[in-house]
Amino acid sequence: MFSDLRSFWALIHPERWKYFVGLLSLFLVNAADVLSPVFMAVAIDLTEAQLTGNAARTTPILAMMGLETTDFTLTLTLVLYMAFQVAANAFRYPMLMYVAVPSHEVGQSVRRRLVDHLLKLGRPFFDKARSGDLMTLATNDVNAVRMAVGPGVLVGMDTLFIVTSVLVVLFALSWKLTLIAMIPLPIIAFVTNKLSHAEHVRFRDVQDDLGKLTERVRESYAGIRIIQGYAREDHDRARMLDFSTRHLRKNLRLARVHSVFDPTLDLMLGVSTTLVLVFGGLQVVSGESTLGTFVAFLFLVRYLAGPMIGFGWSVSLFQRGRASLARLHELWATPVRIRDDDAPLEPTATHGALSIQNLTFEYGGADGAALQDISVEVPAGASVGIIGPVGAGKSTLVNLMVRLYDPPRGTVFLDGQDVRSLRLAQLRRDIVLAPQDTFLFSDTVARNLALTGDAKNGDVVRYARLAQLHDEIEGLRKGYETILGERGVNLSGGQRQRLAIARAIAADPKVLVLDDCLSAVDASTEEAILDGLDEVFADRTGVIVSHRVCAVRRCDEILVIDDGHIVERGSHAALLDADGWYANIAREQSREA
Amino acid sequence: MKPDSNKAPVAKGIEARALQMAGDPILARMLAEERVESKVWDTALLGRLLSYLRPHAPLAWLSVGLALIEALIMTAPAFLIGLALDRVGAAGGARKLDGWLAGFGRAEAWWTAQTQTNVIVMYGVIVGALWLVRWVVGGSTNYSMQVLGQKVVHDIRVQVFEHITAMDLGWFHKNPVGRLVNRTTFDVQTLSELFSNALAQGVRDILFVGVLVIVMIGLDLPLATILVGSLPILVAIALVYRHFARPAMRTTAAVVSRMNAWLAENLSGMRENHLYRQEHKRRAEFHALTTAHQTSVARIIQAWGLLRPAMMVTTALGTTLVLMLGYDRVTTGVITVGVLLTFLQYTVQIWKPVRNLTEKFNMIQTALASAERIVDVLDARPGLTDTPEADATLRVTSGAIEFQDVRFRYSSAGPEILRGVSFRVERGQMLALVGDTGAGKTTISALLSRFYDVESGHVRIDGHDVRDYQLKHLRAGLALVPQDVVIFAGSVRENITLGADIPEERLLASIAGVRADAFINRLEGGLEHVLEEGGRTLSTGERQLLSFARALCFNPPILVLDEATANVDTETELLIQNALDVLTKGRTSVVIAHRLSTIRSADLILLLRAGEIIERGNHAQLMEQDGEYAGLVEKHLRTATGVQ
Ligand SMILES: Nc1ncnc2c1ncn2[C@@H]1O[C@H](COP(=O)(O)OP(=O)(O)OP(=O)(O)O)[C@@H](O)[C@H]1O
Ligand SMILES: Nc1ncnc2c1ncn2[C@@H]1O[C@H](COP(=O)(O)OP(=O)(O)OP(=O)(O)O)[C@@H](O)[C@H]1O
Ligand SMILES: [Mg+2]
Repeated sequence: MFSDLRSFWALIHPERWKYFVGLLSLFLVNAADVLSPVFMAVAIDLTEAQLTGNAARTTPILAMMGLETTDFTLTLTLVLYMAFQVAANAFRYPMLMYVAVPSHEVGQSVRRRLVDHLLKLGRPFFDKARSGDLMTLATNDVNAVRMAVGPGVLVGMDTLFIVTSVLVVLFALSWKLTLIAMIPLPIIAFVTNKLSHAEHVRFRDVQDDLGKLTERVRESYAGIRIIQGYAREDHDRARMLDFSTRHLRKNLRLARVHSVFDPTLDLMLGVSTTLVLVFGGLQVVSGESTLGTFVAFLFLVRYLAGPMIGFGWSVSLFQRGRASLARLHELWATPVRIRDDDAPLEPTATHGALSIQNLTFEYGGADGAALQDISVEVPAGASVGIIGPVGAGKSTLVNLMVRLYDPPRGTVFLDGQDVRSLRLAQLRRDIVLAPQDTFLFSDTVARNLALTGDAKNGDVVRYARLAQLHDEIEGLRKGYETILGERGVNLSGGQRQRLAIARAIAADPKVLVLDDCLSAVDASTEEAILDGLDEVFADRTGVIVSHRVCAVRRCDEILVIDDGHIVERGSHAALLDADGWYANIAREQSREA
Repeated sequence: MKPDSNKAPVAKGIEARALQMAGDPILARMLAEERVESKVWDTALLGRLLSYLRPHAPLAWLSVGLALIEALIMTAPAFLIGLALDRVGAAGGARKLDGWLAGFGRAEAWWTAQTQTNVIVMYGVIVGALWLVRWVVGGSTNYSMQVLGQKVVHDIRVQVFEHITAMDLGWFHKNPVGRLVNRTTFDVQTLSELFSNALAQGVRDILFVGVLVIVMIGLDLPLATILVGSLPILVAIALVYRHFARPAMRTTAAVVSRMNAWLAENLSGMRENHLYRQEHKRRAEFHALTTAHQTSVARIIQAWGLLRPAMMVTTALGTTLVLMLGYDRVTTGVITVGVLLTFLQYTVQIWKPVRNLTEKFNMIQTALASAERIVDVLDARPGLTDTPEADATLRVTSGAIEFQDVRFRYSSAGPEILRGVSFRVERGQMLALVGDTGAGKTTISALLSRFYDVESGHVRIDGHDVRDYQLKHLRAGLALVPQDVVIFAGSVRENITLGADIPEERLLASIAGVRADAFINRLEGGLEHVLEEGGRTLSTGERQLLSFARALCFNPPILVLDEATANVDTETELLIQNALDVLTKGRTSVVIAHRLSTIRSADLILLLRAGEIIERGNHAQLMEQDGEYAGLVEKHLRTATGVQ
């Protein structure tokens, strides 16, 4: 509990002065608010005195201030009442502006921190993460935290102020009656505690489930082509129905706690009111207190009503915020594994020589090492081709070069420096990987192409030409300014792939890595691209992964990887002579047609 | 894509500020969408929303009934306290409503020892009991309202999902997945607030005000007039507030949607963000959005910060007037002090529902905007449905395919993608489509499954136009291995069978046929291994094999393979080829391939260029023609072997 409060305080800390001003205003609001019923009491006493002709008696609270009811006329009383009300409300404005607005600021900073952290987390995290969960985190959970530090704090402090100030006034009016009215308080504390705990648990459960539901929906929409193509809509709907029903059940479980919360607090107020009515009434009868005091008492106890319900509300907000903050902290606690060393090496002049020494790597599943004892030397400006069966570890190898996953230290070197010791930004400037399946942002073609922003306008066209894409882009309605649909839906598969190649070239790296980037491109385009790449690779180091002999044929060295091992290596000619897997594949592919 | 040309009115004030802060072109578009005025009291919309209550009518009536009871009970304590006061106070007198309480009076008389102490205790017990009843009733009202709200929301959620999954692909291309997901979860969730919160409170509050007004008029008309008179002022204040807060609310809504879309996109594209060192740029983009959000939210709060005091001062004024007039009326003996007291308590009580409603206004507004967006989705008619002539008994049985002068474009303004394509394939034959990227091969396969309708011409299967089939029967007759592989989070088995009842042997045979058995066996749990979203922990080729196995497993009369082995090595590919000969015996297949070896044995090869068939025939014929195809083959041969 205290650690929770600490983490909330940490959130509020940068805004603490605003909160201070806001809460001070809140205090003034309450002070004025609590005092005004006193004047109501005076007005009633005056009325009664006028009616019965008896001299008006003075309520203790006025007596304490050295005043008497007879000092007041009705007009004066009412004017004072109004003055206090206006004052109370005037302070409401700063109260909101200095608590509610900063609370949103806290929300923004939580949101930013979340996104900042997500931007730092690497592949290993995103491989396992559920995007529905992450979305829920960024929307609902951030909001729940915001509610806790905004309305939660405001209402919570409100309760505190009002309850204390009302209690002070009540004690001044009649301490006996006050004690009697306070009988339900311990019960309230107990009940709120129990209920709010249940609410906390159930709310968290609902949020978790919402993440799953969101993900289910997202997958169905993203894979609609398959679902419709195989006419599996009915199955998919049935599954969604299950998810939705489960979500309904969990929500109802939460509703059961939630529904009794307010009424229960209200009941406690009712008990207080009843007690005041009985005992206060008896005091009036016995002449121990005035009618006005009794009325003020009733009103003040009612003043406790708002706060009591508010108290329940704020406890429940706090519980929800606590649940959400815990979820956020869980994410923030995910260590950023792929990051710069504390003292990263300053790069020496980059030439682009790659060296891999005795690299063994496993993903950390049960299925053993994905790569075993790989050693390769690629001198600056040279090129290496990688070929091998499905799932052999080709992509794994190139992913390690750019540290999408971290290779063990002392295994992968760029210009003699361990990639683990280089600055990430520097490494990824020098080595650019065009991945096997591209992601296109729903932005313009030009901006997708020049992602790094290093390329100038004319260059963009040049790179598009190199990837044999220029003509087709020109054919689009707005050329390079066409905004691509989600993931580039309005392009054909081959067009998307070529955009990925152009994008990688545009980043102008020292080492260019193409992971099977021509699989959806027809043979003659492929040929043209490969010719163009010769120019690109003239002053760069190249790594080309492909299933096709023609793509790797021109490389200085070709590696055949099977099941994580290098099984053959050498130049195209040498491998053909060796008459192994590679030669076999080459033969097959040349029989094509 | 949406034409960007729909000229949005120039953004002003807070909207312009937010746009400038975010510096985000997409936000501008979203804001324009939000600006489509949602009429708050759009009765059609409200009527439609209420119609969702119909299936739960008993529960709805129960809730309203309970709310009414609660409203009645809520007015009672103040009344009774005033009454008690008059009974014991020196200032007691005759009260107007006493007539109503004759029965009550008799009960009172039964209280034999009419000492004041007893009277007070009796009222205390009654008030206490009422509160207890209220606790029970209040809890039940809350719960039944919540159940009602959640059930309705569940219904809507399921309906929206079913509707969306029935839409056509063209529609999906115009509506990003992130947006559709938002409609189904986020917007529906917002709507739930309307049902379980606003509706519940609204009904109770309105009933409460009604009951209160009646009781007050019964007690004393002039005093009642003051209170009732303050209601329109309160409503007027609320309207002024709405006017000022509206643009800020709209901006906030737009910024929130933009933030969600931004997140969804960048979570999927995280790898590219890392590879191309976009972290700082993306960070800045998101921070700019949060700044815009903060500014517009602050504006809403500011409006609220002015509204609330205004309302409270109005109520205070009401109280003052009641006290002033009350003084007169009590001293002249028209009413008792107790009645005055009841009135004072009512002043405090009456404005609360109004305040609630205004406070809820924000929420109602958001909920209605969500409702409108949901309704928009529900009103979107799928561009493709079963035609009226569709024959429910028609099934794809043999698998003969015919295209007759098919012309097609993706959007009416777009370029013509297929320009008069005609061909015919008999049952059990293999059709191969080759040609440049972007020539229209994938488009042809999409027309077969009727993902789109042709502009002119006919696509026939088994001699019937595809429009004569019911969509589900047509598509059940085809299995498609698409160019971009789709893998769902779930077990390997589910991914292949898609939840259909497929005999184990056939499943295993399909897996073995595409050589996926080796890697599946390596996975922990084998077939039951649970894959991550999109199969992220598999290699690209492995994913493609799964997608291929899926098609074989369904094994319908027609198999469409769109680059189905593009990411597969040649050795595996050959093995698959052999297996296919056995597994798909008698099936018609449509193969799209860039590697000509795959299609050598095709019965018909079509060479496409820019939406037209430029050559056709089988391999031997085409080679003999010595046209483009032959050239292609030769070139291929040259480059592939490296023998210059
Ligand atoms: N949803 C779409 N909306 C608009 N245009 C599209 C859409 N899908 C494809 N196109 C355009 O239609 C043309 C043909 O696309 P299609 O996908 O049929 O080509 P393809 O022959 O399969 O190419 P590839 O070999 O590269 O896969 C391309 O120019 C493409 O840009
Ligand atoms: N993120 C990951 N987590 C766990 N295992 C993985 C992950 N990515 C790949 N693997 C596994 O590691 C092995 C090598 O995968 P990799 O992607 O390197 O293959 P590949 O040679 O590129 O194959 P392809 O030709 O299909 O692209 C495969 O068995 C694959 O299932
Ligand atoms: Mg790979």
